[in-house]
Amino acid sequence: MVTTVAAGSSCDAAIIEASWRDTEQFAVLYDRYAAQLYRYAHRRIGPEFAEDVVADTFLAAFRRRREYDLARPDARPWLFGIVTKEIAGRRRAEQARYRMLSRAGVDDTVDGMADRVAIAVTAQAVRAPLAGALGRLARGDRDVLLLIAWGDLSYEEVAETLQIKLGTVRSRLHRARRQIKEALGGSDPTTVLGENS
Amino acid sequence: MSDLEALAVLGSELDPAGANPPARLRQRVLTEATVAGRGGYRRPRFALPSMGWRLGVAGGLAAVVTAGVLVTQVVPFGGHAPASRASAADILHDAASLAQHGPMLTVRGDQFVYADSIATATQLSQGQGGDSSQVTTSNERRAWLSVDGTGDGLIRQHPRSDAGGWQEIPLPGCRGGVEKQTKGEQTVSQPCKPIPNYRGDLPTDADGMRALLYRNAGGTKNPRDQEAFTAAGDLIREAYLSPASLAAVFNAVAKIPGVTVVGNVTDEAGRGGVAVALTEVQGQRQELIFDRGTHAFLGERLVQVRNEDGLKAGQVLESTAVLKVTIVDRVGQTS
Repeated sequence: MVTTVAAGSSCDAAIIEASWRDTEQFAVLYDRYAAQLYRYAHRRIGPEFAEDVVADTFLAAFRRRREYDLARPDARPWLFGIVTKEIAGRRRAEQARYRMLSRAGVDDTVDGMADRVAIAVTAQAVRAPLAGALGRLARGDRDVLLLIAWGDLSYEEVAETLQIKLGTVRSRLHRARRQIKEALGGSDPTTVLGENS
Repeated sequence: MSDLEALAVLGSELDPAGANPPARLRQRVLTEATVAGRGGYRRPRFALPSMGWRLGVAGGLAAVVTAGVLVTQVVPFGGHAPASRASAADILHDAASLAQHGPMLTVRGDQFVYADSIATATQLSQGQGGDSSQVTTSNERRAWLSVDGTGDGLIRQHPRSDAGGWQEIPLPGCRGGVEKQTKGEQTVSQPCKPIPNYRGDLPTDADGMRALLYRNAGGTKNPRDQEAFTAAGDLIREAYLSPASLAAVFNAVAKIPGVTVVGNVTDEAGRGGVAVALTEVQGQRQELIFDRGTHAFLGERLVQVRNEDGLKAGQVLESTAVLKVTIVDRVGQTS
């Protein structure tokens, strides 16, 4: 049972090692990370696919649990690396989501949007070009940008997640942000909002 | 508001309704992990119960809303000379003429759009070593979509490679502002707005239709012509349109700059077709497929045009053959 490991105290590596023999230990890892992985996947790929993505992520992690580098106490970058690949495997769905967001009118609700009141916050004038720009980013650039902006990962964690150098994280982020800014009509997107509202 | 702040706001708008993933997800993961751990038994990917469904070709708005694949009226209609050298406009105008002769159905809100198709899609998926590999699935697919969005619809599909049973994907209708999803033993209610699967108010002339296609094409930096072509696919996918409106769609597409004839293709049902296409700036080509002889609409394809992400130029990513579209009274009826 889950309770045999004090979930709050053991590091991820210890849990993963324990799960080699006792597969039920894996539940601890699930309970630690499912919510943030689900939220991240839901943002990127929407409600229809988020559950599949998270399930496949954990099942892939489970199959590869003996390959995990036990010298790394924190499994978050490892799991975000797997979820990134799972999302990449559904790139058409992700693209469709951005396309839909970039098209939806002010009064339209988009499948999986948290609530309609919140939609008014990013007026369509910002949301549409923003979503359109996300869809046009190179995949590697988008991964870096969204791991930081939506996954709340640090630069160092992104480097570990994507197995790239820190400098590459910086340059990809820079490039992605420049494209987003251009799509939002310059450095201050609120001017776009003002003109259209 | 900075770019990162705008992203943060958009991200929070896209969050799931609750802080935690559904309980069924935990059960699903832990059950499968335990089974896999016990016997080293490894299920093929497609045996995994899927909460989602495949997006249709070129998956745009309609695909997401209707859980779509594509489909439109296919009208066998007689004898044009084979026209392999026909221009895109010729092909589309022929398709429009055929569509004009399609069935003019009376559609009531309590009925269902029935769409029968074969849908094939290639997914990149992660292999056991962490490398990405490609998996192609081809499904026979039958969809019943509530005309006014309040009825409970259904998708039945099964892989063509497997004679086994049909997977059923319920599409709960939205009644009284509430949609009830039943997954296993749980029923979850969500607030909703009915999404009609039939629109009786579409333009019936090419100019009006063209204006509609372009009206939705703003707001992105994608070329407007590309967006309009996508909008056309979204409009006819897994949908019944009146003969005049369907004809108007094809005539309107004929007016989109950049639409060209790609050449001969064989569709998922083995029918000889010719593709009329527009290449997206993202590196894929969206194709509408028409019968090689009559130019009747047959389906859609999505073809990779650049070597990218492990995909090769020329590779068909998604392909759908429309077999039948009609209006029926109840889920399960096919005519």
